[in-house]
Amino acid sequence: MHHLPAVSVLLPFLFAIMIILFSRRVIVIKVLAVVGSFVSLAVVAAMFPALMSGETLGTGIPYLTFPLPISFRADSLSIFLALILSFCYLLATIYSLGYMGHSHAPERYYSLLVASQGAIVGVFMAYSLIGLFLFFEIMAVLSFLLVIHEEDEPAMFSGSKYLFMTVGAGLAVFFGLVVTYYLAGRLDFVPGGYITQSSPYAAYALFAFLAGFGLKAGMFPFHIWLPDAHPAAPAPVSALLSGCMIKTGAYGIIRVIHFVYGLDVVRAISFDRVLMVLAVITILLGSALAMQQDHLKRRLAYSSVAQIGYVLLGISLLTERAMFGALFHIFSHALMKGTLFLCAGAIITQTGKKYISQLAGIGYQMPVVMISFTIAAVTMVGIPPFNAFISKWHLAVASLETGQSALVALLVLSSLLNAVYYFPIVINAFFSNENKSVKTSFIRDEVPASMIWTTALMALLCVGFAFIYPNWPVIAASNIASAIF
Amino acid sequence: MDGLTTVLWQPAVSIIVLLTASLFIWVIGEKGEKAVTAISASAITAALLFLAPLSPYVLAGHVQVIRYSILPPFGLSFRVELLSISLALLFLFTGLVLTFYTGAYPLESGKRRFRTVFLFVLACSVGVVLAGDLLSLFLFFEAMSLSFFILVIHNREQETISATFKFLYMTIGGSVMYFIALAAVFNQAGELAWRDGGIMTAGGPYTLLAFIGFVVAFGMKAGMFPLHLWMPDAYGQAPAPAVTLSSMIMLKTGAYGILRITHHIFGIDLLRDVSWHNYVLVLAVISILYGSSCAFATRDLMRRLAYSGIAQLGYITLGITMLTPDALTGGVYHIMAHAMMKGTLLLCAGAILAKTGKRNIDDLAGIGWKMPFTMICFSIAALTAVGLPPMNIFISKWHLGLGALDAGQPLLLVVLLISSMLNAAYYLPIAIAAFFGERNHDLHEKLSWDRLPLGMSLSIVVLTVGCLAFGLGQINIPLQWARAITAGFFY
Amino acid sequence: MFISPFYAILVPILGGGLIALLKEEQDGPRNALAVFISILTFSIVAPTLPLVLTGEQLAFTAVRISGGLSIAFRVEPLGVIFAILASMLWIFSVIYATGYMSHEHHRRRFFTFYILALSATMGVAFSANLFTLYIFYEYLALITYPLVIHEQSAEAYSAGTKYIIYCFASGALVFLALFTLAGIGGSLTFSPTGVLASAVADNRLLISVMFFVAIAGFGVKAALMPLHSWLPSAMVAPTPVSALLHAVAIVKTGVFGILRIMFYIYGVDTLRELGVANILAIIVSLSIIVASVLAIKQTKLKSRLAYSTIGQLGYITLGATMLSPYGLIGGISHIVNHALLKIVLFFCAGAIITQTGATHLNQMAGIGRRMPYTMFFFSLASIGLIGVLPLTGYISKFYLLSGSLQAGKPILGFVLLTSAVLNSIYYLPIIISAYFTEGSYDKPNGLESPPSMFFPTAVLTVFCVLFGVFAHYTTLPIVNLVVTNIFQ
Repeated sequence: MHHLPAVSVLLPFLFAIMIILFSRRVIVIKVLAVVGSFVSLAVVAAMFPALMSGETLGTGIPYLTFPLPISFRADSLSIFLALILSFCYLLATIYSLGYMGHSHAPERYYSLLVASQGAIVGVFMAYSLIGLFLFFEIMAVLSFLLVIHEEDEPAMFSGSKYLFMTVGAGLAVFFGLVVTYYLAGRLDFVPGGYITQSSPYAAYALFAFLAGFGLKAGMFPFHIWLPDAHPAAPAPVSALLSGCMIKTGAYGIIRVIHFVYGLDVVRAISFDRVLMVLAVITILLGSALAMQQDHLKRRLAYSSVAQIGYVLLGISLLTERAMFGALFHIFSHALMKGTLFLCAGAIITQTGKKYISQLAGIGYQMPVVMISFTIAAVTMVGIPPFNAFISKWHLAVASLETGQSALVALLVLSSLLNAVYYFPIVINAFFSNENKSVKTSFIRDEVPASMIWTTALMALLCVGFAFIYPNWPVIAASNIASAIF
Repeated sequence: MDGLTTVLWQPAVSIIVLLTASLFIWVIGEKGEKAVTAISASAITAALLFLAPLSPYVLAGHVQVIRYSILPPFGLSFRVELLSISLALLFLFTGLVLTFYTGAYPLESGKRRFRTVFLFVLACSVGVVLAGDLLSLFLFFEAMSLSFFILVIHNREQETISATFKFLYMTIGGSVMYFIALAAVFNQAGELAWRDGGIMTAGGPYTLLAFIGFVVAFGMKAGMFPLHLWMPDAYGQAPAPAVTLSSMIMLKTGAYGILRITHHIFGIDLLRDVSWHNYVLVLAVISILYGSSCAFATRDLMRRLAYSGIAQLGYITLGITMLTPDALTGGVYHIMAHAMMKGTLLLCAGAILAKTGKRNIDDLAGIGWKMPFTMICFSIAALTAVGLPPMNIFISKWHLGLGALDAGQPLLLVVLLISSMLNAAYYLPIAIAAFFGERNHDLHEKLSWDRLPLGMSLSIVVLTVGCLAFGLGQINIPLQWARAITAGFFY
Repeated sequence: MFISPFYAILVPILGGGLIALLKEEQDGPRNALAVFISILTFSIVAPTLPLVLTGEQLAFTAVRISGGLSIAFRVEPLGVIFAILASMLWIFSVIYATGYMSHEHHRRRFFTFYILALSATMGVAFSANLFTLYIFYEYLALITYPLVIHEQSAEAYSAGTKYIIYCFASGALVFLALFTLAGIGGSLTFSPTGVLASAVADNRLLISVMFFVAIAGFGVKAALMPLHSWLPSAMVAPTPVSALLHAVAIVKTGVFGILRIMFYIYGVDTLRELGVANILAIIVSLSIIVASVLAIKQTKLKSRLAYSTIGQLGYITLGATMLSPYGLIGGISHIVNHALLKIVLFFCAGAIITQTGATHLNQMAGIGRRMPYTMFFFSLASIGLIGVLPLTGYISKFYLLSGSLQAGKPILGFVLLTSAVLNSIYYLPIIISAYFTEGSYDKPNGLESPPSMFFPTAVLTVFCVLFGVFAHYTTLPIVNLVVTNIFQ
């Protein structure tokens, strides 16, 4: 049991190596990729009891010694996020079988995909800032290679932009690490934090972390890479970038302010205020820019910027309820944004259309996909009983509790904006006036089954968790939030 | 080991063996390249075998000064201690790697001369770090610097010759400054030997003169701004093995010299008192930023690596002049880390140059499919240079950063980070363009292996592993040694 | 009683006579005799070294002239340094000359005067007072005149005329100083502490002026700028003569005379009191820099070497003018070091001229292919002059620099350093163009120059290294002794 965290990190890397070694036959690659993704999900899932019981798993064996030992441990926060994201990975991997069916360099694509799963799990399982940083950087390089997979001019450009900005983010985090280590002489995680003395150095470190993790999360003003990189990547990768990777930034901020620096320090240097302001700007800006986009995936990408703003907002309020909202939003956003990107990928696969203005009447050609899209879009707006409603509700309540009633208005406004930029797509897809003559009868989606099923499953889960009892994401998120405070 | 009572013969014999071997290569040079490589390699190995057994002795903190009654006024002396031995071992090891590389590198003509001088320079650089006083160091330092020009001028083209002159005159200028510093130390202290805590007792015009002299002489070797001018030209013209030798070994002697004078001639107490080290620190910062920026601006691969070397040596100088233990650990560790990282990059660049004749970065798009092995190693080293964990440079930057905070100057850490960013900006595009991009699409099918000579592949692999291995391993011996060295200076 | 200085002077005179008796065609015996005489002279002089190191000094008065003047000899440290150096290098020069002159005319005349010059040099070295020094000084000028005009070309004659005019003018100045000082101070016998201390108070101005007169006198031979112009002209002489002129005998007698005047007639204390040394230091500094710059402009190898000599001689005088022990150690040891290094350079130049005919630098491109070892010796000697370890030049440079700091005049140190840089500017391109540019030269068949030229050069190059590495067994003890005596 205590070996599981390490296994869950190393296993995907092992599979990635196997994919490279057995790269002769495409079918073998695909099987290995799916099996690898599934197995590592299974390993993470095996830690589920610990998630519910709040136990911390880990052997304490140091695996690396640079310059501090790194061992793998998992508390419920780690397991919670790892579980969600591994699941998304599995779906994206299966989706890729169809989407990337005839793409070049499959061995590269699948090995990177599986390895990046290991890296992202590593971010959560390496139970110290330095380990987090290590996997953070590995993830950056791997995801860069995934972004530029198409190797066309826009992909190369936006990939490079992503790479350099993420390297910069890594360096900012590095700065924070060094300062933190200088202050405390340690970099592990302790609930409640261990740096309780406020000092200029602590402020430097925290804001460096904010810049580094914030960039990764797509927070204003470091979001500029995101609308380029996400659309340029292949659809499953976009789904993973938006659904999973940007969450590691939020995760990093949670770890820093709750497990390294005490809340006193955070409050003393007004870190929470700054974060809140940035989160608000991120939400508004993301939503506003999303509206202007005609390119579907760009609209989704800007939407991700706005959504990560919710998570950061939840973190910045520094209350248990807000934290619950943030955690739950990580979960719900992963599913819904994943769904949306997978839908966008399916549309591109079948019709080659990338722009929203071209999508009139597409609902008749791709009913399953567009219904999934609709579900996810509705979830996104925050209509009960869908997932995002729960997170937004709690965020709103937490805002009132902390006396920030203006934030409630913000949340409402943002939901409205969500509606404004998602619903026209849906409406246009099914009830287009212009293209009425073209097709009015439903035909079956003409994309590979693996894409249809994964998209549909993800969309279902957006709704489904509301009807499952016990609703374990809620329980887990509330457990974690209460453990943190 | 009973090294306390007996006079250690190893330093002198090691250097003599190396020098004799270089003479021997000159004599038999025309006969065959294999024989030359064998002789070089066995001489270096012999020196390694002589010096390596001293490591437990020096790790235990023992120091022995061996003085030979030649070279007046104070005699030729060697000092066996951890710093000397570890650097000597590093130089010999990298020298061994380079020997195989050079053996396989297709030099057009003058192989005999090149390889003789190559080994000679190596021997002298080992002498520099083993030397026990300022004058002995100067002997090896000058011999090394002056004979290096023969490697630079190898191609004998017009530009090469003017680059060589630049190098030579600056070297002479440097040694002239060293000379005046030597005289100043002699006047003030009456001796020239290393001593813990320094031999200079008070600040004053002559002490300052000595300080400036040493900084100029060593800074020139280390390519410190504004004394770096020789470097880009020389690197642009010299054959790849010479550039690598310079970057991996010769430059380090400059940093080593600054370390020595800081702790063993002036002493940190005196320096803290007069704050002269801050001038060097500022120069190091400028070097870092300037070197990185120039590297970014140039399109010639070799010159880019040269400018990057200016920045990297700035790190080492920075680590030394911050006068804090962590920073020194970082600086000393960076000597090793940079040797591995830059060595890999330079050997790869050399392999590309030898194989394709290309040195302009714009021409290197898609090279990864023709020379995948080389470019994979290049990419790994490039990532190392950026300071990605868990590779070597990360560790040195880590310690340098801690030292900067310790010195109360977090801005220096920011400087390191900016430089890392620039590193990323000038290395990664090369690696990316080598493999990816639309115009390389059709190259995927034409993937062919590098077909480098064995010696070149082998040496590239060894250094690449060196970039990775220490950070990944459970026990980081260079780091332990760097810490022990630091502990010796900040007792 | 065996009085070595006497024999050291006598033997070459007799030897020169014997050589003159041999016929022009009798090359073998003449060469053997010349070599034998120089070896013999050296073996007479050599034992004086251990003698003076034990603190003993030999004195011998040959002729007493009225008025307190006498021709007297004395074996004391400074003279011994000069004598041993000269007689040692004479051996190599003679051997070299046998090879160099083998195709020249008037070999009998050449060797006769060549050997006679040795006796004059020995006389200068061992002279016990200024009068004796003056006599041998003039004698040397006369003897070397036939050597300078050896080529008997118009150029040689004009150079010879210039040479002899400069020499006699110089002699006149020395003579003027000699008698004035004798009148003031009474004694002209060299003493390490000077002999004028008691007379300064009354004749301050006159003594100061006479200092410059005397220095100007010897400064001509020491090629002190602006009195140097005879030296580059005299390059027209055969190379062995140039080598001797520059490296050993003539210019060094000038410097030797300056040292004698400064420290053995005036004395350190008197000089400090008069402050004249500082003025001289300025002149010498300028001389060093200007000569070095002029050297860069020379296109003939030997001219470049000549200007280099002017600069290097300045080092010696500069070391003396610092009036500090280290500076003087540096200056005196540079007499030896410069002699060794410069003679190698001239030997190389001579070898190049005889073997390839190249006299101008632009003819020397690629010559390293034809004469690799000769150029290697040349390279070593030239970087030795720049001051690179472990070649012998670094010792003097080290002490000169230390001396400038010790005297509180770091500016003089910077003059030396500037000169070192300029040295590198005019030497290094020669080396690089010899080895690394394309030329029309082919590889040599067998030895690249005649053995009698090759081996002296090689051996002296080895000496250049040995005298550096083992300076504390060779030069330094006796130099230290001289300096200790002066700075008591």
